[in-house]
Amino acid sequence: MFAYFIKRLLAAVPTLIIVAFAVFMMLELSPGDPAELIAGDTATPEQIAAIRAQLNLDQPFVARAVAWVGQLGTGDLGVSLYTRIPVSELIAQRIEPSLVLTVVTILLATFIGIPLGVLAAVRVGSILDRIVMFISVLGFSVPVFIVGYALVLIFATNLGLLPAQGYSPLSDGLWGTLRAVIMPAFALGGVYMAQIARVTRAAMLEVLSEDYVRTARAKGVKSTIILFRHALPNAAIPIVTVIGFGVGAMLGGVVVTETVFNIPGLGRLAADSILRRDYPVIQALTLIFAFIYVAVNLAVDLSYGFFDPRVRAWGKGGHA
Amino acid sequence: MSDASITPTPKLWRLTLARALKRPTILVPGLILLVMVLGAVFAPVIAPNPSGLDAMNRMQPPSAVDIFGTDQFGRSVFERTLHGGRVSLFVGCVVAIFVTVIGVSIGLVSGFVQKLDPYIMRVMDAIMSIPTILLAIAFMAIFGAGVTNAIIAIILPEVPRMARVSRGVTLSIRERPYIEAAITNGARPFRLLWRHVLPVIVAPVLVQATYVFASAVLTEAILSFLGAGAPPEIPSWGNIISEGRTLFQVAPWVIIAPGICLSLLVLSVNTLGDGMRDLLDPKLKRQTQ
Repeated sequence: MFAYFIKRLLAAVPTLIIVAFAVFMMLELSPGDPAELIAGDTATPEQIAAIRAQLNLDQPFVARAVAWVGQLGTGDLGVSLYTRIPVSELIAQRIEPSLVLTVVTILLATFIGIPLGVLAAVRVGSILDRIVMFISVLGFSVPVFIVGYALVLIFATNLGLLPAQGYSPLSDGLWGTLRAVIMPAFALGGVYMAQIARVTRAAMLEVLSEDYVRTARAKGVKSTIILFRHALPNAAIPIVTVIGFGVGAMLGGVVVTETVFNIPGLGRLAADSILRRDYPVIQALTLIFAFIYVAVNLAVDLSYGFFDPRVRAWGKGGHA
Repeated sequence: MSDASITPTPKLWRLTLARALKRPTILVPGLILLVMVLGAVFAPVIAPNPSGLDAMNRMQPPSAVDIFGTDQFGRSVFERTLHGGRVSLFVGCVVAIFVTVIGVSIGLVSGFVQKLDPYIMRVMDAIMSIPTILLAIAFMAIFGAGVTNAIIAIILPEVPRMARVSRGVTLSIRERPYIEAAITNGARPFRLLWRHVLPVIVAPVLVQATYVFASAVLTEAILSFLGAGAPPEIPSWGNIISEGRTLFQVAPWVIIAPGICLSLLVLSVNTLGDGMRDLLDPKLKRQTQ
């Protein structure tokens, strides 16, 4: 298991280096002089020269790339061009709402998506199955902001049950935070839940046709025990895989969701930074989100060992 | 594809088309798409004045005059929505074409040149580990808003998925006897890929291309919604919703029409993709024969 862990960990390193390099390249490839771009329209030649020195633009390309990655290694993410605050500080200020939103979304999507998928698999071909599959296709197709506004219109404007906009920090009480986050989490988690339900259904259908399930049935084992003790753990690997992959799209959706619901998190920061053309912030956020994605998928890879003893024994994962 | 010996004969095409139209999962979304394409093509004729201001008729609910109502400037939501479809369909088509060409090329090379494969796939994995929307946003922040930049920004994150699909199919057929036979007969690499591999991967690539189309339409709408896509003078579903969002609790119809159109388009294309997958999947086909 330890060898497996180290192997997966090492495999993630080159991915992260390529991501860092790609993010670096983006500014490098941008039209015009990066220093002038960063300095903005009102900068004096002296300011531009200072920025050029700061970015090591007089150094050869490879040296600059290495220096940039080294800088990242020390946790220095640069300074926001718009607010003049270090990016790491900005991120620290904004991280709580995004963290709460993503955690609630993952929990909702998992704990609703999996049971829906199981139900659909058990009653395959039934009306329930069709409804679940139809909702899951809808989840793929209706954009986050449409779901968001529809929810606001129903639950805030018409029913007045939930706040339409904004966020309430955890320090002001958990209940307020949950009330603020529940609609955004549903809007954001729609697609995610749909993916999880679909994959759960497919994986369960496959497992339920196995001989050992038939044997268990023949022995007279209760159907709930068959479902949750025999079948679900064996269907776990594709399910956790889709949970891991889905995190990528979900993280992207955070940008839109936080804009729709006016939540002052990292996603809102990213959206605001596009129009301000605040590159250091965008670069840092891209890196952080990619890092989270890689970390979650590493955890997913490791969970294979937990669900499937064969992975532990062979010391290699089920997928490349 | 021009070679008669490898492309299906016209008769087979007609047969496939006939079989396709019998499937509701292809016929229904196909008809919806047809209506949308016609609407987009004839938008300048049906809706000649999408930017026409009318101060006397601001924020009017849907009526016989303006079936989708008017926005805060008195512009017709119907006309703007019709024009918005042009942006969405255009972006979807262009992205799907470019992603297919680039992605399939990368996939074929990766699938056949074993030495390059691990490097290419590592880079593809790295690009895929950046969330699509974030990668597009980073691109837009650096290169500036606009439809052309939006198209490039959407192509970038979609390519790896297409490359993966075509690489997977290529790998699965690489060891087949007929490929070995072609190599033994001295087929040059380009000819081998073009004549023996490409026809086999057409079906899964076509299906993947429809998903790319749907995803491109969604991403464009999101970019425009965030203000990084189509400029305000070009109505697109994303920026109509973005402009209408401050007033949507008072005048929800401004975002309802483009929202429904956007969802319907993506839903149709996704359903069409599923329908085509069921139709073209050789395994399923063999079972039914």
